[in-house]
Amino acid sequence: MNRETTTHDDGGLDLGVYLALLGLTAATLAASHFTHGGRIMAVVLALIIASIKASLIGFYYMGLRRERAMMFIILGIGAVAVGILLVGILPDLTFARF
Amino acid sequence: MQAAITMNADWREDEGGRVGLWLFILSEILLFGAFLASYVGTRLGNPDCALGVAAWPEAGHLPGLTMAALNTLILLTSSYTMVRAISRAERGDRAGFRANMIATVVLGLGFLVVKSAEYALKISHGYYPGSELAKANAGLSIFLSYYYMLTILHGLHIVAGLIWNGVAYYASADAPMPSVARRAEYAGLYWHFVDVVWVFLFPLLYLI
Repeated sequence: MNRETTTHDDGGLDLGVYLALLGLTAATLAASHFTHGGRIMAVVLALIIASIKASLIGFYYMGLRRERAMMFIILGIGAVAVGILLVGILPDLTFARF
Repeated sequence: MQAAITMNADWREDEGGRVGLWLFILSEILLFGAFLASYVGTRLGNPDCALGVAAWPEAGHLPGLTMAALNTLILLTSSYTMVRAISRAERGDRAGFRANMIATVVLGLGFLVVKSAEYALKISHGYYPGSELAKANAGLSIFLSYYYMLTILHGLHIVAGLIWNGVAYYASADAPMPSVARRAEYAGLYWHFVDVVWVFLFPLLYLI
């Protein structure tokens, strides 16, 4: 077992992350209330908060903060690919006339 | 010398397993990412599907949202119990590992039960592709197709995660603790990823 990269022994930190995730879930619900009617703002805000939550889970629960650079390269490929897909729809949203 | 060779072999197996698992997670990111990008583009770019919060028309919206929020709480809690299970396994605490892993499995099953109740609620209100309600509203029909496709795909991943967790629990009865810890870590990586997917699905399907 590679203890250097896999040990999960931060009991208090894990609980803190859990409470932060619950708080961010409440923030997601609140944000959706305040952005009612503004679809693009609602989507952007929802994605930002979800990304923060995903980062917390990734770094602390999945142990990314202790992983080697290779894992970040693997994840980076996924993030770039999904980013291209999301950004790729912008021209259509900007210029399309319905 | 022999000990060094054995430790090196263990390290390679452990490292190889984790890299393989992260590559698998990459493939899952691409799968869900493609569907979610398509969904966001459709919702933003097509006024017929620009339903906003009214994606779930008033009848049944609040109970459905409550169930989805409850499922968010369940999955986040299950991620916390999974972290505790891995931590206990790495410390050699077999009983602690088993208690936390069974809690994770029970919470996962709870997620599926709540999801089933939510499906029943939506179907009772005619919120499914092909219903009279959906036929009368093209935007709703598109949205419902995405909703069921994404949530069922996620649900299948929950089932796979439950099987994985169940195997890790079953095998922990008499396996050496280093082996239990390794299985727990792999199962945990997958389970946390399934949680991350729901973190994105929840606001995109229920709150915009």
